[in-house]
Formats: sequence, C-alpha cells, structure tokens
Amino acid sequence: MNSVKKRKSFKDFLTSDGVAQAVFLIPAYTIFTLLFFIPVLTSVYYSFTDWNGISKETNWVWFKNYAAMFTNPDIFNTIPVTIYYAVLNSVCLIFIAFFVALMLNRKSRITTPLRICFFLPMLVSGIIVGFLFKEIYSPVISDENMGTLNRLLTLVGLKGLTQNWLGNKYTVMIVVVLTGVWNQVGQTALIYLANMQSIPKELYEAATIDGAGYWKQTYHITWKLISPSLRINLILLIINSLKAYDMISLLTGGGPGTATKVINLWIVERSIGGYEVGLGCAMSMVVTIFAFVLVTVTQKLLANRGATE
Amino acid sequence: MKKMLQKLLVAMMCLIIVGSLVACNGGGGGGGGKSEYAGTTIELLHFWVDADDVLQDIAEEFYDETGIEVDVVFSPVASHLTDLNNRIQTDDVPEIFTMWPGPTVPPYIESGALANLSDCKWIENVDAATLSQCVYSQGGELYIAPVNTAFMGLAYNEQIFARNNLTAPKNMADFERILDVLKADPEVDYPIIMGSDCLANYVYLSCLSNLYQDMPDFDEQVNAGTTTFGNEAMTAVYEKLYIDWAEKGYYNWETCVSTDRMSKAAIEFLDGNAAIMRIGGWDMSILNELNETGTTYKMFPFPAEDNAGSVLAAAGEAFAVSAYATGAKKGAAMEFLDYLMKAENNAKICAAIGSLSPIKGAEIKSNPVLESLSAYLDQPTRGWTVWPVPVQNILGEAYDIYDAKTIEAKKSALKTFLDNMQNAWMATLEE
Repeated sequence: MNSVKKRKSFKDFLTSDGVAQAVFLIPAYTIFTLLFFIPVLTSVYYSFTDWNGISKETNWVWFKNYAAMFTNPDIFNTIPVTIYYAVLNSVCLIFIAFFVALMLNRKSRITTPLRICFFLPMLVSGIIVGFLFKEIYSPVISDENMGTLNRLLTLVGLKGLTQNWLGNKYTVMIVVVLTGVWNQVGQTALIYLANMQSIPKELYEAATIDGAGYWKQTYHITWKLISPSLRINLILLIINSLKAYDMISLLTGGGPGTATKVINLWIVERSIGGYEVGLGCAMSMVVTIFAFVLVTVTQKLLANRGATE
Repeated sequence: MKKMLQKLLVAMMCLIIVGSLVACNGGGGGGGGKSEYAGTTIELLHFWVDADDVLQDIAEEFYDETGIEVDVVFSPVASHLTDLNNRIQTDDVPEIFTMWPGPTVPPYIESGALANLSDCKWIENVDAATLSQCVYSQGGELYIAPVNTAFMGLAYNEQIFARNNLTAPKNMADFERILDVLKADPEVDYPIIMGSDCLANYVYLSCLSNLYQDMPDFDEQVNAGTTTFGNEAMTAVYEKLYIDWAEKGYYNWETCVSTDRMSKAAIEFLDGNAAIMRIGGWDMSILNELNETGTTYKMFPFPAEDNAGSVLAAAGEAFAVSAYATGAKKGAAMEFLDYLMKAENNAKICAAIGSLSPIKGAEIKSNPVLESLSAYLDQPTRGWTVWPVPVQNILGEAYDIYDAKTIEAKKSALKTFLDNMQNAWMATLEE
C-alpha cells in the first residue's frame, strides 16, 4: 500500500473547481456587497443616530428613533393603508395572474401575441407607469379635457360613472391596485405558467376519462399542483407590496389626504423632506424585519398546506 | 551700436514683464483684477432653468470687474437639495447655492452648513418684511439672502373680462358679482379653475385675505394654541369656498381633489374655458409655455370683504454661502453675493424667473402681469404659513365636504374636517 499522495501544483489549485467558482462569483458578490450589503449596514448604523442627511456629524441615540416611531401618530395612519394595499394587491394579482396563466397555457394562434401583451407591461418602470396612468385616470375638467378612462365611459354612454379616480378617496386605492396589477400580472403569470407547463398531461387525460370538466380539472389538478409557484408568487408579492413607492408616489403622492400614503412614502417624506434620516432608517429596518417575518410565516403556512395536500 | 541694441533689448524685456504682470494681475488671466481674491474660482449651484443665461452673464461681468471666476452650475429643482446634501457629504460643497426660505433652512443652519450673512452690506436694501421671513435664529442672525418675493393671486383672462365689461374686483362682494356674470357667459365652463394641489393648499390660501382681515394674527394665534382651526372666521370663509361657491358652480370641485393638475388647469384657462385661475408667480412660466392662443392675462389679489385684498407675498428663493468655504474662497463668495444682491443684477434675475424683487431700487423689465399685481403692493402684503405635512394632509381630505348631499351634511363634514386639522396641528406641536 504505497499510495503516495500527489502534491497539487499552484496551477492545479488555480484550475480547481472551487477556485474557478469563487472567481466567477467575485463580480456578483462585489456588486451585492457594494449595492446591497454596505447600504443595509449603513442604514442599520444610521437608525441608531440622529443624522439629518446634511450634517457631517452624527450622535448615537441608541433606540430613540425606534421609540419615536411608535409614538408618532402618522405611523398609525400609514400602517393600515400599507396593509390594505398589500392585501388587495396580492390577492388581486394571485387570482388574476392565475387566470391569465390559464389563458396563456392554451395552444392557439393568438397565444403568442397574448403573451407579448401580458408580459410587455412588466418591462415598464413604475415611474413611467405612474405618468401613463395619471393621464388615463385624469378627471373630467371639460368636454375636451378629460382622462382616457373617463372619455371611454363617456363614449359608451356611461357618463354618469365618470369620476375623479385619483381624487376620490373611495376609488383611489382600487385604481392604484389595478395599475399595479397591469404592471405586474405578466411576471406573476409567467411563474404560474412555468409551473403549469410542468404538470403531466396524463393527469388531465385521466381526469377527462373520469368525467371531470374543465373547471374541476383546473381546481383539482392545476390549482393544487401549482403550490410551489403560488408560494413564490405570494412571497414576491408581499415583498413588492411592502416595497411599493415609485408608482404610488407618481400617481397620487399619497393622497388624497393620506388615502394612499403607504409606509415607504412616509419614510421618504420624513427622511428627505423632514430631515430625519435616522428615523427613516429605523422605520426601514422595522419594515424589513416585518417583511422577513411575514415571508417566513407565509412560507411555513404554505409548506404545511403542501404537506397536507 | 551693440550697447544700444542691448539696452533696447533690456527695455523691451522690461516692458514685456511689466505688461505681463499687469495683464495677469493676481493670476486672473485677463480679469479686471480689482479684487483681493482675483484668481480664485468659486461655484454657484442654482435651480433656475430660466435664469441660467442671466447668471452666466452676471458671472462673466463679475469676472471682468474682479478677476474672480464663477462656475455657474444648474441643478434641477427636483434634485437640488439631494445634490447639495450629497456634495456636503463628499466635501465638495459649492461656495454659493440657492435655497428655499421656510422649513428647509433651519436643518442647514443647525448642521453648520450655512455661513452667517448678518454683517452683509446689502441687507439695508432688502425689504424688511421679506428679510424678516429669512431670519430663523433667536439672535436674529441671517443665513440666507432673499432673491425674490414669491407671490400668489388670481390671474384673469383679459379677453373674457373685456367681453363681459368686467374689471378687477374691489372687494369680495364685487368679486362674487363678477363670478355670477362669468357664470352666465355661455363660453365659460367655470368662472374659476384652481389648478394644482388646490385642496391641499390653494383653496385654503384663496381665503386668506378674508381670514386675515377678520383675524390679522390668525397664524400666531394658531401657533400659540389660543385659537383653533374651527374658529368662527375660519369656518365662515371655508363655508363660502367649500360649500357656497362649489354649490353655485363657481369652480369645478372635481378638478380640485387631486394633485398635479396645474398644466391641465392652465390649458383650460388659456383656452378660455375658465376665466380666472389661482396662480403663484412660479406658475407663470407654465402658463407662458402653454400659451399657444395668445391669451393675455393679468392678476389681482384674493379679495377681502372690505377691500381688494392684499397680495400674498413671501420670501421666494434665496442664496446661501457655504460655511465650509474658507480663506479666499469664502471672501470671493461673499464678494459675489454682494454683486448678485445689487439692485440691477437682482432685477435681471427676477425678470428672468418672473418674480418680484425684494431689493429697493430694482427695476424689473416691463411685465404686464407683474405690473398689474404691483398696483396692489402698496397695501400691506403678507406671507403665508406653510403648515407641516400632517396638517397639509388633512387639507387634502375635503372630499367628504363636496361629496355630502345636503348643506347640513356638508357643514357637518366641514366641522369634522376643521377638527381633524386642529388635531393634526396639536399632535405636531406636541411632537
């Protein structure tokens, strides 16, 4: 047994899989560190200071910002608005995207153009969506000067339904969510679609032989077997809803009053407009932790659902 | 002969050296070289797209006179403060920069970013009321130099007024008579259009002349907590604007309950669908840009019960000198600020941005709109309080007043609205 271990040369070391992987990962890790990890750590640091965004000096204030946050009455207005938006947005997208994915999963001549129609909006940034839909929802200022939606209603004889969609506190959240749905439905549907296409066709054939109709098959096979994508979608939607800022800021600025003032608008308002960067960072930390907890709980619940089924 | 040539050569060399020294006095490279800071280069960071050319010209003239070079750099309004803050953090602060008087300034003073301007000579030439709005410290120190006086009032379409034989109102009753006449004009959809953010601020501001006539110290009383937003005077003007005028159809409240409608309102006004429009001086550039029909307009103040009202005027924009500038840079910046605050230079800037000047003796080039409003400036002008964001948010929640079906329900909604505003204000005070 004279097994002699061959000593690895430096060249071997350089060409080994581990080192090659590390080298390929360096750019990604560098970008991640510079654009995510360091800013997050900086935010954590500033959340414990009284930095106003201008001063070169900061004072360590421990948990003062965290305490101030929970005694601020504004926060109690923004939390229900954020939850309302997040729930409405997530529920609408989960179901609408499911039906869109069902439609796009069928083979027909119009499937490809339809896919383009639904996937294209997700390429448009929130800022542009905000500008675009602000014009669409514009109120009736005069017979010539009105938004596209109101003009459409007028043209089809439904003038009585014309609204100042973004100025009415009872309609504003609905149109904001619908705008978000238009923007994100492609992404959500795409994830469903990928999952749907992996469902074995034999299951549908067997169900058809057993006499199950289209909707029964959709519920008992498609809906039940897309659990993994439902979980991914729900997690992404929760995160995106809690991150919502650009589109809402452009569309309504949080108004009318505080009807659409989600937490991120408040954070930016206090941090930049109110020169309370420390407080804004503290709030961001709380939102991040809340999102993390929510995602973990959702994941656990959906995992249990998957196991039960 | 050789000696003479040598002497001539030496004399010529001396002349060249002396000439060079004169030309490059202080290193100005062609500047007038009259300043002890000649040869210094400073930067002016400003947010006026309309005044950029004027500022470049002033900087060139300043260079010719002093030998101090000024880099005039434009920074868009939307990102101006962010740009400035970033540059403060990276130790690349421009020596002079533009600011907005109001709640923006104190954090910069507290952070030690602004140089004290209390000893500047130009102060004695500035309108006292405007100057007082730029003082933030207990000791009365001045950290910003007011450039212009922002104003707000009602613009009226001259053609529509002429067609209906109307002139600017003399008081509130006269104004309401004018609104009735305009309402009867078949070519006018609504007598008044409010424009952007009108619920958040401007409907409220429209009643200020009236309110201040009844309660001259309204702002002070609210600040001291000795009155509420729901006091008798405030309720009366709000009932007039939010209920009475909306009911009579003097304006389309549908256009009032959302933000950023300025350009749409401007089109309605310029097309003659609305005869009067609430505007601030800063809105004039939008009106002028959109004015393709050649509509001419002038302005009058928000009328009060007993008089034509007073122009709402407050310190508009200002210059500040960086506290981080030291030595020659600081001296040069102070010298350039003195130059900018000269009446003739200030007049050029104010003319470019379409605003009134707070500097005595500044004659702004003929502008019919400004001239029409200037006629009212002899009467006491006053600024307006910019309420904190939570109060402004409540100002934007007037939908229930408009949406209520009966007058009683509207009054009840108005009471809730004013109570909410009061609660928001008290919470802010406690905070």
